[in-house]
Amino acid sequence: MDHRRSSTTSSFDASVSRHGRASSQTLLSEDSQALFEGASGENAQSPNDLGQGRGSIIDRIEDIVESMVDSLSENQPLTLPLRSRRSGNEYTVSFPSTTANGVKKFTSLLQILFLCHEALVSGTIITKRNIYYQNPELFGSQDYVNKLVDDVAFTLGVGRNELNIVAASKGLVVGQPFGTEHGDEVVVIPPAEAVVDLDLRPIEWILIIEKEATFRSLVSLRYHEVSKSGRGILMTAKGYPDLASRQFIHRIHSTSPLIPIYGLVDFDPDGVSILRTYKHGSQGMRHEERITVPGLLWLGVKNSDLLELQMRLRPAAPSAPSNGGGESQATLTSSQSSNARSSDTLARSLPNSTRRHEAGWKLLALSCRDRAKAIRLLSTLSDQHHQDADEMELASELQLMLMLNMKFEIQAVDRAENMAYWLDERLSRISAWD
Amino acid sequence: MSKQYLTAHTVDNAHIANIFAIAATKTAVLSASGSSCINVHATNKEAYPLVQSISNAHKLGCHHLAVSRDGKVAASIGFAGELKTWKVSDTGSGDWEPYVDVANGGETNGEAWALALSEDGSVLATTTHSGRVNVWLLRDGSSQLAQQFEPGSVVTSAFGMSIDISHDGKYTATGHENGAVYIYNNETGRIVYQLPGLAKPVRAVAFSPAGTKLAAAGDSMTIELYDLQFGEHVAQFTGHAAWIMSIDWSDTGEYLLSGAYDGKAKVWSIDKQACVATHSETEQALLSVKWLPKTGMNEMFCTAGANKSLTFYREATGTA
Repeated sequence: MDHRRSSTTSSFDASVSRHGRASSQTLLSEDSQALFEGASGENAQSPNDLGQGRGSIIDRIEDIVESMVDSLSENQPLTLPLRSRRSGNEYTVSFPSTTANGVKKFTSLLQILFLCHEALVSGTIITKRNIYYQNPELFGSQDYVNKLVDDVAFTLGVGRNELNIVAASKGLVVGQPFGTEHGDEVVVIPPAEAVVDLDLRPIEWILIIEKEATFRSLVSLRYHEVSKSGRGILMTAKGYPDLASRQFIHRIHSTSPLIPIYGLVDFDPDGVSILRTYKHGSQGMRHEERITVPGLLWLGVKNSDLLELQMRLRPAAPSAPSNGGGESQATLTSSQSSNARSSDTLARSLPNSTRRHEAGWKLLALSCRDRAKAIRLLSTLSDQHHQDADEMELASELQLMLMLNMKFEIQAVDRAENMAYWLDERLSRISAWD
Repeated sequence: MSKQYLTAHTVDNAHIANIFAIAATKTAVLSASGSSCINVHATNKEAYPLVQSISNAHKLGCHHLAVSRDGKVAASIGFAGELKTWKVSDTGSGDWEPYVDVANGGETNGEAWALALSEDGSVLATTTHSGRVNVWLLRDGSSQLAQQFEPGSVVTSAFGMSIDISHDGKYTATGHENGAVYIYNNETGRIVYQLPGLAKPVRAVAFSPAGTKLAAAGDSMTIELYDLQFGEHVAQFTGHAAWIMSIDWSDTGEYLLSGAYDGKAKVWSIDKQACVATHSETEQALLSVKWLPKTGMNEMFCTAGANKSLTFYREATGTA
């Protein structure tokens, strides 16, 4: 159902494997993200053409509710259509009902339809667990919710994912409060309600990582245990965060507001957009206030990292240039210097000592889609009445990204030690400012 | 032998955002930034005061700005892709005001990128995301699309990063994302040269004042010099340790000024084929560097970029 991805024509995109953005769930939420950025068809690759399926589901839910309003005005019983998954026959669930079970089923269905509608309209993803926790007393059990959700999907003739409902959070987390005694076990992000049971006292920092590959690399190094900044929590929602991951991190923050939360995302429009989703939720979604982390600190990657990369990439210059000297020479060319855009190529040509601390970045030109997305984001930011310093930084980084026409991806797959070194350095630098 | 330049003045926080482009006339420096306004600072007055701020010039900020050598016409492109032209007011106030509308050549938003103006402001050329070049004639209060150049073989990511027009208005040079450098004849619309590539991308191209040479620079961290009589590569200037974002020829064609991402500005002697001065007021990226048109005894230049300030340098001489 993801037309946009398949129509992304840039050869760059085609050649780039996108760690952590490849699962269908991720794509769903990525599309959603684009939807509420106010993209109203200003370019051909706009995700609006994706919205048709979603739009028709929204319409159908609204039709159901409208018919109930009609029934109310006519003093008729309220009915909800439901199709049995076993027989395929459609029957109705009515209110009032003669049995307590009937009332429960009607109310539960209405609540699920409401949550689906909300998720579809806002373009967010909710988990079955989220639904259960909306009203545990009503639903009684998770199993009850699961069955009804599948019934609703069957009735509407769509897959559950198309209702923007997923089985569980796609996010992963690791750290002492979650795992075994050494805190080395990666677990699926638990429901926000479970945060009250966590012992966060030993935790000095929390790092939200865009890409699962980076997350896994850091887990394999046990960075959450061995970081120079103390014990921490590593978390990833594998790209755009689902509702459960956002509720979770919000809950942690409201429980222990003194623990700094850092974001590690790519220097590209998606990275900036993911960061904004954590910090401010989705545009125009006032009711999402309780799932944001406005204080999230942008650890990187930013244009300042780009400069450090260039410093490492410079052609084997014997010494740093000094003022006014004639140390720089013009020479007749015999050979061209290597392609500075490919950090890998250059890194290989550098002595080991030079690239030791290279965290594993990858520089790429922006695709047309990247540029369009960056401009949409800039536009969203400029429409805000009160731009705080953080928002101005986001705008500034987006502009530089466009100016340089470059994105800068984290690739920690085989350079995890360097990533850990880089994180140690960055975390200590940030805490030194506090 | 090296030359000495002194910091004549710094206008701190000339903008609230990164300064992406500056352009100099005989009396002022125009600057464009990530904010929506274009600012004009007088260079013929003490302390380089702000004399005009064109508010809401580009809502999402402005990334390219050029002014004609006669100082009468300017053009700018904003991050939303909108192209605007400006002229000095006929009222004698010296203020800049909107000039002609330039239809964006049928390009969609976000596609017009770099731009250049001819000496008298009658020819405006822009690059696009696709690598195409549009050339407009601006006269009598209207604009007319005169030429559209396409790079011979359209390869992926031929994004036109940089552009310049020769002083006589006859030629347009473009530098591209893929490392290509093209020179077009503005009258015939033909490609004159496709110059041997640089490490990509090419972030700056500049014709020498006499139109005999072209300099090109970018992420190779080198400046390449081409002779235009036969399209030959004649020299490479090495010494920058970061991406070169901007280059500019001095009025006489004797010197090249370059600014790099590490905040360093360098002055290169064409005769000596060597760097004769290196300056840096900042470790933040320089995004635009320009010589000021020579009005007095001393050469001057201005640098701007991520530190949001305008820094003016003056050549130090014994008689100054």
